[in-house]
Amino acid sequence: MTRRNNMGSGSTRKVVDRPLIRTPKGSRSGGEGEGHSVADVCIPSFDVRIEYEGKDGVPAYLQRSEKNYQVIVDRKVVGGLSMKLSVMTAQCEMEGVLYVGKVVYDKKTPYARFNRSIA
Amino acid sequence: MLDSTDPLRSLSMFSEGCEVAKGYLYPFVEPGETKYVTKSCCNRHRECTPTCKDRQLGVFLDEVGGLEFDTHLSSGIYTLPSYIPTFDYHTRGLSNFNPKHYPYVAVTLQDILRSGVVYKAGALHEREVQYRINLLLASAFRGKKVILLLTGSDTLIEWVWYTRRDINFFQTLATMGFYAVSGFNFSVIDGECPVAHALAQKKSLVSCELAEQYGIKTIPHVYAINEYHIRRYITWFKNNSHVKFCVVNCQLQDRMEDVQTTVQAVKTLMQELPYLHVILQGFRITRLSLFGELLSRIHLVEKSPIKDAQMRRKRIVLPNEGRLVTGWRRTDETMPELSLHNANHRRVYFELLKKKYLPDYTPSEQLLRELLGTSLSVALSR
Repeated sequence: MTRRNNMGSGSTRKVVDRPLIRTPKGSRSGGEGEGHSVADVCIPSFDVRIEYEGKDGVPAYLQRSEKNYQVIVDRKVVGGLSMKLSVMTAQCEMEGVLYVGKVVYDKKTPYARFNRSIA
Repeated sequence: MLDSTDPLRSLSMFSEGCEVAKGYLYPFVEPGETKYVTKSCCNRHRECTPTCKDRQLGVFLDEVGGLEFDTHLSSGIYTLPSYIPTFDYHTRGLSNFNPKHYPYVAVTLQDILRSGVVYKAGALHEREVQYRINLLLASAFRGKKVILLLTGSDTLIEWVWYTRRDINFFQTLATMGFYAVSGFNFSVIDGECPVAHALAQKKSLVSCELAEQYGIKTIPHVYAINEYHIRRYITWFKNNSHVKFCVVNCQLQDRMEDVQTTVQAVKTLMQELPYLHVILQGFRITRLSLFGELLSRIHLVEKSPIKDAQMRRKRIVLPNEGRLVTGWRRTDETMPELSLHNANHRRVYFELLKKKYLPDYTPSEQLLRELLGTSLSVALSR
């Protein structure tokens, strides 16, 4: 009978450690262009300061508005992304890369933490 | 009678979606490997690894010269002590580990870098790589042979690998003065695409080959999670029979079930290759008895003595019982004293295990006396 071994790195990958692998540098068909691949554009995570007094771990969502992306928690607008993050988020969304958020507290200050999620 | 090794049995819903099932990349990856696929091979943005469905897979295969295990390593390591403590950047000042008792020590990739990745907003982010070029001049390493283990987070090792030419990675390692360097431990995750597994394994061997081009002695890193992988490595070791050592990173195996299967896999390698010595990185020392008579070829490299000392934990070997116990008590000893104490006692514990399982093995009484002090070593000699 064949036996399965778990001698390698384990059976799951950690949420904090999920790099996007870039095409090797110097390859003839590495057409992504250095600095412009999804791995370069879509950062793994970011925090946004929010106005919120509820529990941590509550889901946070991004909603596009006219100018930028707004952060929604408990159906309320609690903050917004900077223009730079909004541009990035929009670019990544078009590539199928989304950001999934939740409320975290750092030294009693509430943030919405968004992690890269591949659709 | 049903053949339980038939790859067409016990397929998962993702097995047939894997290109490997069609014989793609055979004989380097076998169709039977798809029976272990439990995750989709669709990975458009190449999260963590390329797969069989990657549009640019050819580029990744070109980078490592294809998936054939044809990498040839020449510079071998022929002898190492059975116990090797691992230091990190923060303990580089430890000067009380006598080279007479600890002629070899280890460090890991993150400790030789000033920057490379940063933990921010709940995830690891890549940063410009900067070296701690003079690390081996620190007192902890003085007079010792230092082994660099290229282990770390996926974000770090993939980033260093990607930028290796820009950052003159292997040239820099060659100038830093390591005795030997292990292959990168590119992750091999259960249930993922067999092409990803084979690519990670080949990349690791190629990393050894690249290091050798700069005159660095290397130790191949082995991650094998099924019988196909084990067979592949056995063939490779037979074709590189002068390679006497390999390293296996065990830091992520904690469940007894995983430990048992790791032990089985290592045992299979060692039984098939009766000259092979295996360096276990981060394997729990109290479980080493699972290797029984193979302990003569097992080497343990671990950071535990230092980590325990940092948490003010004291490990004590009970010579009469052959046990290692935890004091869990705060002491007035300094961190360097506690680190050395823990390392000495763990090393003696290992010696006692070898005495128990190896019929012809007798630990040096003088060594035990020097490591434990007189009172405990007297008990040991009974």
